[in-house]
Amino acid sequence: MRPEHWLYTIPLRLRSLFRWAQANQELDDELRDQLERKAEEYVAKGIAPEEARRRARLDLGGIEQTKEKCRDARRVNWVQDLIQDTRYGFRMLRKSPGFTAVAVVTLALGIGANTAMFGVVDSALLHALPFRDIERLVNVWTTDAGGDTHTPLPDQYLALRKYSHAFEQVAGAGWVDNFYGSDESGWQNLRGLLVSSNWLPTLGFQPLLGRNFREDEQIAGRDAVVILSFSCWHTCFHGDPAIVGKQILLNRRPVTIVGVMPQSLGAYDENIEVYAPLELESYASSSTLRVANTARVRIVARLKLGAALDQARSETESIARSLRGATASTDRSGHLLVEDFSEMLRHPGPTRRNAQLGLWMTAVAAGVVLLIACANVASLLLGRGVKRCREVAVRSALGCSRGRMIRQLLAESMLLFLGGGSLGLLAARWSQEVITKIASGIVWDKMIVEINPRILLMSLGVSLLSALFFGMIPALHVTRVNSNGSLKDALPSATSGARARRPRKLLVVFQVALGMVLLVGFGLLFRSLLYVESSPLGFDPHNVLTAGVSLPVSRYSDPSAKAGVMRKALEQVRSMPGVESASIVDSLPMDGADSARLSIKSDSSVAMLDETWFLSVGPDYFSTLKIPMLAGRPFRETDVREAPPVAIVNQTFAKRYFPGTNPIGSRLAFADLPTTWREIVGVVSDFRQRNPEEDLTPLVYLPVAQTLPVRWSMAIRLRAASDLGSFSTSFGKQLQPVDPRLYWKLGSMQAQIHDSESLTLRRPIIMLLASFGSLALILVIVGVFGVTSYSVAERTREIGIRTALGATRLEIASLVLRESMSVTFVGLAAGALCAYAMSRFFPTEGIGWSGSGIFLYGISRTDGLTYGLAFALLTSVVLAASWVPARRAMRVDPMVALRYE
Amino acid sequence: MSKPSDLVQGTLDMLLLKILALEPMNGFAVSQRLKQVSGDVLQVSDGSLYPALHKLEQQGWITAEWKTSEYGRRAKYYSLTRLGRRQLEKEADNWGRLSSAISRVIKLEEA
Repeated sequence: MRPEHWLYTIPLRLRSLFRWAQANQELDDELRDQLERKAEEYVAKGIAPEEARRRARLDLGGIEQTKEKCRDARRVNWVQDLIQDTRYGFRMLRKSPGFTAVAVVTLALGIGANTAMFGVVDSALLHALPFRDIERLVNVWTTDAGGDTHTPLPDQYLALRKYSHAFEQVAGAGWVDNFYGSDESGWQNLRGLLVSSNWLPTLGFQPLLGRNFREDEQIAGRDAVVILSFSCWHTCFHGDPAIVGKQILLNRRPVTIVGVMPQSLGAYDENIEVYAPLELESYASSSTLRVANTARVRIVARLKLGAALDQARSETESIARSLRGATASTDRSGHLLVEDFSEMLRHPGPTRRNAQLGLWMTAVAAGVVLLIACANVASLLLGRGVKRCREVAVRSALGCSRGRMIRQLLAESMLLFLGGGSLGLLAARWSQEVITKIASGIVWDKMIVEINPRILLMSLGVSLLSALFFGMIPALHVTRVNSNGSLKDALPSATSGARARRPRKLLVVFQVALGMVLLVGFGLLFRSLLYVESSPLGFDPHNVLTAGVSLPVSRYSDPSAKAGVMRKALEQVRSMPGVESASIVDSLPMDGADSARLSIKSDSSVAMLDETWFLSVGPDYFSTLKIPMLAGRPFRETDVREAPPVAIVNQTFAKRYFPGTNPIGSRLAFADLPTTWREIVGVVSDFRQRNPEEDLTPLVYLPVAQTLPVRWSMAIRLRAASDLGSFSTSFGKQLQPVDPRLYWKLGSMQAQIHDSESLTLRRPIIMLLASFGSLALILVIVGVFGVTSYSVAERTREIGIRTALGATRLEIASLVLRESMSVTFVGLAAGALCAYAMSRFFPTEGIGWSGSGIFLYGISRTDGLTYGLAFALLTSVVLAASWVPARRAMRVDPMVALRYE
Repeated sequence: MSKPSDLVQGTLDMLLLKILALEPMNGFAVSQRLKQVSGDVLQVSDGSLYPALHKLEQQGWITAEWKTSEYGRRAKYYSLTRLGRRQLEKEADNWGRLSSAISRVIKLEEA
């Protein structure tokens, strides 16, 4: 259509819409004018005035029909119809407030749950990286000798900054490290990240308050500045608006707060609380990390506008080649890989993938709740429809088309669903905070969920779509009136009931099946959680306290100083009454470990192994945690730096690499280090190091006195009777003389397990599923109750006849219960099949080290107990819900029932 | 003369446009004029005339205006728009081609 066309037509359409009455008046006037002229014409031909007017009317061929045809020409009639239908629907709903309230509240629960869940999914998965022009952001990785990717080294970072032309910005971030305030400050162990001054601009963030770091603040001596995260600003400084410019003591050093970060960095957040400048010189030399690692810099870069990714790749690789120099040809180390930033989301690590799967699962559970709610409303509408059969029959006899009636009934359900939707939006606003808090554990972001246009659109869309679908079922059913039959035939009678009840029965089957799916899903995961919590760890976590420390490299670079502080700390602790034993480890159970490629030398051959995890432990570590030695000896006080290098392996290691032979006496070396061949002196029993339910993996233990890490923890076993709580307070005092400037992070082994990655992932999912599951149960009760009540009400006459013919009350009750139970059993069977089919989405295979799983553990997908319990629960719920109507049926007085018609 | 029942499908619009191209007039006058110029051959019933006029108006081909007539009577006068004129030319063109083609076929000499 041409714009010129609209020039004429749009005002007309608007006029027909908004000046409806005037347009009709004009139509009347026009036709009256026509009639008068026509009549005059006939009169002029000599016809009597009365007859002339009659002929004129006849010529017009039915005034009302012609008017309707003229109105149809306006093409906006449907809007009028809609308004009419809506008004009518509104009146009908107001006439039955009970029905309306139940339907709207039911829908509000379903839509509210979905809106809240969608908010979480939206912010955690769909819009998890709120960066400017994300398509121009890249990550840069380097490779090791085996070709595995790692975080780049500082010199690679510096070279890329200096020589690359394809990037607008190259920004760096160090490792996450702990920061701590003064002892009395109450903020200890804050997660801190060292970032380059262009890190924020590269990602496209602005500080919320204050300013970003300046270029010159990356130089040693001028780097005493920090930016606080939003949550740290709130929790540690109570959201003080004048915080910028204040000085605080951090890591025993006065620093100035120059800014506050925005509320969320999305999935890139990592729960960092303090940002400090990446002062590369001391960072590069610090080597704060464990044996194998030197300091590394995570690189994120922004492509120049118009620069192609391939161009950046080849340029980066040529920079990497010049850095590798002559040594390059032999192995695969030292390459630089440029990776599209959003790859991080598209190919998440196993842990994150599990978290996402868990989040999607809870979203599906919320969807199931909505479906159950919709089915409830549909069966309520059906029940109402039966009462309105007479109205429908009358209207259809008067010539109302079926389509028009369906439209009218749909308008009514549209109203219900929109009402439910808006109430649901309110409910979502209230529950959002709780749900977000629970779900934060799953996605480990500081999630901020606001009601945004996407969420509004989604809840509106869900309301309208479900209104259309679930409103259509009753609309089609109710209007299926035989127009040839008499009005009386259209009404429910004593005998035609069974067929009329079928769609409602199907809805109950649908609801019960969905409820079964939800309960089985929840049950399987809940039982898994119980199994994980009680799974054998391979060590005894009871009565074990932990104390972690990170030595400042500035004062502890000398090996003897590092060894000295360990010895002193252990002496202090061991002298305390109640302490049974104490030892040192660089990474506590559930914290994982470092890995490196390993070589084994036995007899004459050298074998290169896979990436292998390793830990540094003190002499009494195994005995402190009650882990039995299987062969050889534990580490001794004499296994120090000057002594011959030794190692202990775990049972899985021995089984995998030394099947049928004795590993003791063989030698191994880690690839990343200057080759040090270590003699295997013992085999220790397996225990879990990362997650309670993980698969056993080969592990190598090195003596802590030979590796001397700067970050380590003590594991302290108390005598059984000791009180853990009071002990940990006196504990801090006891460690004070070791080095008053050190900060100790105190904890317990059981908290350590409680906070393991797997359990922190499983618990929130279980909680969300439990709440959605109970919501679903409530809705099923409401649904079954409603349907059974309607059915009893409809069959009052039949029940009366049966009673009059001598049926006992028990027989009447069983008549009602049998009907609802038979429907329920069909639903349960269908639900069990669906649940079995869907349980394939639960991974059941073992959980490796690279990521924790959250799924089935200790039980099979067809766990009988879970299915049985879900079955029993739903059956008893349905029985309870149909008991009230059944009792009503038992009390039917045959005299009253039969007089009814 | 028998009453022409139905106008050829789609030609009513064209005829109405043509009549209104002469001068703006009301619905009654349109049907009078049509009858008159076609020598009583073409007639449109009042019941079809008004819906047709309203349709043309909604399509933007004609526009309506309330005017007081020569006898002091208020009536709705329709007149052609620029779009309507273009539409008329198009339809007249089509009609010309179609009718001459039909005539050629009808006038074929039988062998």
